[in-house]
Amino acid sequence: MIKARNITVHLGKRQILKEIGFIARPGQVSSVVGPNGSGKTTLLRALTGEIECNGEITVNGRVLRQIPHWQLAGMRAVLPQSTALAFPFNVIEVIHLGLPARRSYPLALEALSRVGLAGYEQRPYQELSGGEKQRVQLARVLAQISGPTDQTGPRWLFLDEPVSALDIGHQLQIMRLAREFANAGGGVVAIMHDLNLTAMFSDQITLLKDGAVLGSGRPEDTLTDSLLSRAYDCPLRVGFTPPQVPFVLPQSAGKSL
Amino acid sequence: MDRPGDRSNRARVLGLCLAVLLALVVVFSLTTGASGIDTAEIIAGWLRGEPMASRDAVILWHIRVPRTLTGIAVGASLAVSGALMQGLFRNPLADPGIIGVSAGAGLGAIGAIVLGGMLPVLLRDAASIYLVPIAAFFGAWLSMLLLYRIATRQGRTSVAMMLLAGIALAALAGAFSGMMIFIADDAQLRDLTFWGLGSLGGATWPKVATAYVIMTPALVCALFLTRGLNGLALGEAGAFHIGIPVQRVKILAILCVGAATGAAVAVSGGIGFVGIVVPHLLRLISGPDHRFLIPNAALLGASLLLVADVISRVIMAPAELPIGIITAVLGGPFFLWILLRQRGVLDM
Repeated sequence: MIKARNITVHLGKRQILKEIGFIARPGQVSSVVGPNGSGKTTLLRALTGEIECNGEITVNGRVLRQIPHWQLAGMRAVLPQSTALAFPFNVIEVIHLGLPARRSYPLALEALSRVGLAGYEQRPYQELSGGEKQRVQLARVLAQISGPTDQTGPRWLFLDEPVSALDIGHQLQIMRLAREFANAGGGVVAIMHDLNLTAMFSDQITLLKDGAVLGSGRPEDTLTDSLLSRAYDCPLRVGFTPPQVPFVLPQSAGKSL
Repeated sequence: MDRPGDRSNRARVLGLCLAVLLALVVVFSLTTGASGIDTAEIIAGWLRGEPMASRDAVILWHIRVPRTLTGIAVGASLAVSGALMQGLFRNPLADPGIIGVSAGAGLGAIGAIVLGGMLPVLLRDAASIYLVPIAAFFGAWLSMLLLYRIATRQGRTSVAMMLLAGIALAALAGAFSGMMIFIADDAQLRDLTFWGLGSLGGATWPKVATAYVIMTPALVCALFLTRGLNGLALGEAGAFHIGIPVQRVKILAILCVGAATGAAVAVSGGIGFVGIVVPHLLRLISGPDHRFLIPNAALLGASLLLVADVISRVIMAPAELPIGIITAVLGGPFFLWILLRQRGVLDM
C-alpha cells in the first residue's frame, strides 16, 4: 500500500500541494485527475521520491525517504508521458536501461513480448512511432520491477499521463496493460488527463484542484456533475454507459456556471 | 545463444581491435619522423645490451617516446571528455569546447605566456616550464566551477543553463584572451599562435608526468560513470527512477571533464574535434552503450591523435604542421556530415 498524509510541496514561494492525503492499494488502478496546474504531476513526483515534500509517505509500510534509491527502483517504476532519446539505442537496449544493476536478456525479451512487440529487438528506438515508443518504455518499466508482486510485497507502477500523446487504439492498449498489472496483484498510480479513460480503467479516483483534494473515491462518486464542474470551472454533465461507467462529453458542457 | 539486438559482443570485439590498432599506431609513431633513425635496430641493440648510438637514442628516448605518450594521453582525454559531455548533456553534439572549458584553459595559458614575465622572479623560477600548463589547468577548473555554481540551484544542475552560461563564459574568456594578445609582444605572439594551433611537439618527460598524473585518475573515474550515463539518457528524472544517484554522477562527470580537458589543453593547446568525431564513429559501429563507448573512445582517441601527429610531422618535413590544423581539416567536414545526417532528427 502507498499512503501519503499531509503532503505539502513548495516550489520557490508558491505552494503547489496543500496537505494532500492519498492512498493507493495493490490490485487497483488509482488515478489522479484535475485541471492543468492543479498539482497532479507534482503529487506524482512527491510519491516517487523525486522531490522533497513535507508530510509522510509510506510504500509497503516503509517510510519513502528512508528507502535507498537503488532499492526503491526495484519497488516502483515510472512511465513518463513520452521519452525522447538523444542516442541511437535499439529497442532491447532501451529495455536494458531499466536494469542498470542486473542486466538480463531473457527478462528484457519477456517484457518486450508482454507489450506485444516481440521481434522488435533490433529496431532503432528513434525510428519507432509514438505508440511503439510508449510500449517500449512500458516494457522497460515492467522489466525494471520484474513482475507485479513477490514475497517482499506488491510492486508499483506510476504512470504520468501515459496516453496523452497517443491515438485511441494505443491509449486502450497501454491502459489495458496497466489494468492487467493491477489485476495480477501490482499497484498502479496513474496521473490522467482523459476523464473517460480514467472512468473506464480506475478503481479509485482522486480529483485535484489548486493543489488540494476536491474529492476522492470510486469513479461514480468522484466523477459527478458538481465536483467536475467545480474542478474544471465549467458546467459539465456526466453520462453513464451500462454498467454504470461514467462518461463526460465536452458537448454536454454549458456556457457558464 | 543468439541474442538479436545485443551489441555488447560486437563492442567487445571492437575494443580488442582498437587495442591492436593502438599498438600498431604506437609503433608507427615511434618509427616515423623527420630524422631517419632505425628504431627497430636501436631497440634490438638495446636488448642485446650494446651501448646505443647516442644521437639516435636521444631522438627516440627524449623526443619520440614522450611525444607518443603525450599523444596517447591527450587523444584519450579529449575523446573521453567528449563522450562524457555528450552523455551528461544528452546531446551528441556537446563537446568540452562548447561549454567554455577549453576557452577557460586557453585564457589561463595565454595569460601565463603574456603576463608570466611580470611574476616575481622567485615564483617564476619555481614554476619554470610548468607555468603555462598549470595556468591552463586552473583556467579549465575555474570555468568548470563557475559554470557549475551558475547552473546549479538547490542541488540540481540545469543542463540548458550550463550550456548557455558556457557560451557566455567562452565569449568572456575569448575577450580577455584577445586583450592579452593585444598587449603581447612579437615573441609572445609567435608562442601564442603555435600553442593555439595545438602541437605535441613540446612534449618532454616532465610534461608527460604532469599529464598522466592528472589524466589517469580522470579516465579511471570515467569508467565508473558508465551505468549512470546510460541512465541519464532517459533524462534526469528517468535516471532517478531507475535508481541512479543522479547528482553524484553529474558532479563526478564534470570533475573528470574539467581535469582531462584542462590537462589536454595545457600540454597540447587547441586540438579540436576529437571529442566529437570519436564517440560518434563508435556509436555508429557498436551503439551508444557507455559501458563500451567510454573505454573504446579512449583507445580510438589515442590512435586518432597519434596518426594526426605523425601526419603533422611528415607532411611538411622537416618542418612541422600544427596538429590542430590536421584534426580540424579531418574533423570539420566530418562534423558537418554528422549534422547533415541528423538534420531530420535534430530539432534546432
